[in-house]
Amino acid sequence: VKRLAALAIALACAAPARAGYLLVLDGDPGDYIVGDQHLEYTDADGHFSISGDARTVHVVVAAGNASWYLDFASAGTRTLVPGPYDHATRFPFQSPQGNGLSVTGGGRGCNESVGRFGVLELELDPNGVPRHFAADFEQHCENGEPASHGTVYYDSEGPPFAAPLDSDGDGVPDSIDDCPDVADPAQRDVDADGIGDACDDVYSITYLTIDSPAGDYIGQGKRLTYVPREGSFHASHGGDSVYAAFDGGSDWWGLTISPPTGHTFAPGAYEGAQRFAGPSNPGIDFSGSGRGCDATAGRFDLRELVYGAGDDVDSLAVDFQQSCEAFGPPLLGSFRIDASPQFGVLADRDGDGTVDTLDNCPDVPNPGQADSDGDGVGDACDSLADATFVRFDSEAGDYIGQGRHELYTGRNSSIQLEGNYGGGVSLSVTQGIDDWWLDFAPPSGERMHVGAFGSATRFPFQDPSVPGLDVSGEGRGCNTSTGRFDVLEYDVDAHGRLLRFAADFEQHCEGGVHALRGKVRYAASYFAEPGDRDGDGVPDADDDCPNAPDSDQIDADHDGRGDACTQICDVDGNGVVDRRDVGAVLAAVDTATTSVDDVRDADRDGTVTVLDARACALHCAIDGCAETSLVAAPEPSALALAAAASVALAALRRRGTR
Amino acid sequence: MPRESGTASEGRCVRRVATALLWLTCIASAPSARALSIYLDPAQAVLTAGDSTTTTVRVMGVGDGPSDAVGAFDVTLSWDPAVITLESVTFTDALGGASHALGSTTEGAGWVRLSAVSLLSTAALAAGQGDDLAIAVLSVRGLAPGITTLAPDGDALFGDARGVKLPITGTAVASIQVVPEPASLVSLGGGLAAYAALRRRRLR
Repeated sequence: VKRLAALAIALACAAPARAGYLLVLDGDPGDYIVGDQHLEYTDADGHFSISGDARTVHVVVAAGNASWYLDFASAGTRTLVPGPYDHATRFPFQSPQGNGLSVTGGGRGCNESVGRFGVLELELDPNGVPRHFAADFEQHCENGEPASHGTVYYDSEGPPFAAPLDSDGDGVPDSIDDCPDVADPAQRDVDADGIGDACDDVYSITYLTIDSPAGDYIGQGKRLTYVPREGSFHASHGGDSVYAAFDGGSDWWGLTISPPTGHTFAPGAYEGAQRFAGPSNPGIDFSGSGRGCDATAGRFDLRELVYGAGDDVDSLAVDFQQSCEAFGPPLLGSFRIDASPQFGVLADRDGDGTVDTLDNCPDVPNPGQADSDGDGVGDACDSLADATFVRFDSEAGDYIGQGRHELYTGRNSSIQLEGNYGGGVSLSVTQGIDDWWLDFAPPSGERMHVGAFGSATRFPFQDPSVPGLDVSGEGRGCNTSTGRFDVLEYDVDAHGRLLRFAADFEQHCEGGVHALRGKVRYAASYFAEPGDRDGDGVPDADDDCPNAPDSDQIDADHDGRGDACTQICDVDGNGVVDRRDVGAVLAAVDTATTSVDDVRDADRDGTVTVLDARACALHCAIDGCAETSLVAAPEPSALALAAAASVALAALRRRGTR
Repeated sequence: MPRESGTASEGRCVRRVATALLWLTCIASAPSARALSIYLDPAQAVLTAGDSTTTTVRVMGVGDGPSDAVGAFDVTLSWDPAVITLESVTFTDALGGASHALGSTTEGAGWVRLSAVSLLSTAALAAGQGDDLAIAVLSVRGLAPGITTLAPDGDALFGDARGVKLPITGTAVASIQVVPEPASLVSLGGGLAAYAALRRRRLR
């Protein structure tokens, strides 16, 4: 028995079976490398080989006539570790401070590519060569939208994989930590050189910004920012001409500036510049990416110029303006190459260490720039959209809301928040042709705070002793109004900037009895749970109405569908009124209403008629009642007009007589 | 192809006079508020059995202001099923066409119910409609000699662009007469002539 027990324990403690070898490739439609197909290889289908070192891993899979080559490289001298790697450009042509990725095969390769990969497992043998490796990846060929996705295992244990390595325990995986051995959760990198301030000995500024207006030949109307991780910067001089260059592989830019001939360069403003310097004019020539001007007109401010040894320029800071062919719209640019910080740090509104032009969520601090869904919008901003909505519930007879029930979310609308001059909060909501404005203000002398604000009158004409409230839109506003609002959350930063706001309100126009009620949530913190589409704090899986905010989860008739889903006209209960719902109402004409709250009975007269269908058409979320992408009930039985009405007629003809 | 005949011309004239009289009655009794009149406009008032014709369902009094429009309707039309039969219904583009409107039909012996709703905005709907509006076209076929009216029932419901019920102040029905096929008339005539000749011979 002891031997059996020992054997059992030994088996249980033995190394787990390795998942082995696997290559999975999925191509989007239009993807050049994999194409619109799913491919899967194991070591039963082909031969897997691996090579590389601590910074690069190469995997080759030879299966029949197809061979696939995968290359993964970390930026600069950093070693590959388990964790995410973003901004990967084509290996081996990535910038010295950027990650590299290449997926090729079947005789196809990209000229340029962008992508990202995640190292799931990496173990080197005693010689420093990879022996266990697992990664997933995504590559966009020629910087296009279609991607090749995939997963590769080389003698891998398979899932579950260990969590990404985080040596300094600052919550940012080493693979994307700009200072992996010193805890710096804010990931500040003021000089944008890819080395976090926490471990950056050289504090200087290097970047190139280009602001090209429409019609400018050189910049092609683009606004571009380049920092060191995207390519190399270089500055030199020949005589008194200074040349500054950025080389990012496919993108390269060069600026030549000169003082008037016979003069020596010194910091200052240089006006009347032309392509070639003359005795009375300085010279300017900015070109790049295969485009140059025959003649130029412009100016520049030389803010810092420090010559180094030989032809080198140690520090350069110059802001310039150039009109191509001397008459084109002016391109604005700034070059900083190892410049002193006082000559301009790129703006970083949220102070998260990533400059605005590179920040995937520039107004919300997100040091790691996490972007789980790869949509280019950081998770922090996705959460913002999920936690932002404005809802109106207008009673019949209310002038402003016209009896409508509307839900505008951060996903389908533009909702902007700012302070108003009453010391309160102002929101604007725009969705298609719908425009709404909401103002909340405390009584004069009070600050906005969490709590109840009763006896409000119309903002901004309220008596100083009472709060102000105004909800207007679509060309309608109250002359006078009464109401109240309850502020549930109000958060400002150290500079007084509004960060979060949540309030419920009720407004009566012209002192009438019919109310416009609503809810406002802007970046509401407790509505930012993942998997919570309506941002009501209840995960979708548990939500009795997942597309409409209903944190109270009230379900008066116990039918499993929350009362919030009984939005008027929303027959399929998906939170949005669209063509399907109108069709369902039309199909239900003459059907007895199921209750006083039957959503099909828009005019609440107890009968479903075509008048209800028309009223519902005006409730559609999208002009023209286009169907939404939300999952909904089956197609209505109503027929599209002119869609072979006679065919339907023939089918119906077999029914009996009335 | 409908055949023109003296009988058909007379029928059309009668129809026009009847329609005009009905309109005069409707207009005289119409209240000043926005109100609709429904009228059915047959292409042929006299129809040979076995032939087909169309009847257009129209409404007048919609108004041509910036917010005057029909946004939805629900109307049932009836006729004598022994005289004519319905072949097909086609909705016009008045409410927005296939892409911007929904419609349905239900039919029984001697009746059809037409329901439709526009998905257009109030402004877009009004911009596309005038004061006189064709909403549907019915194709009917003559079955057997006789006269029938094609008429909307009293429960017709029309809504404006906002879904508010529009009062209906008048209706103009269509009267359709179905006559025998010419071949039947020739046979009948020949039979009568033979019978008359036989009678004369017996009398002599």
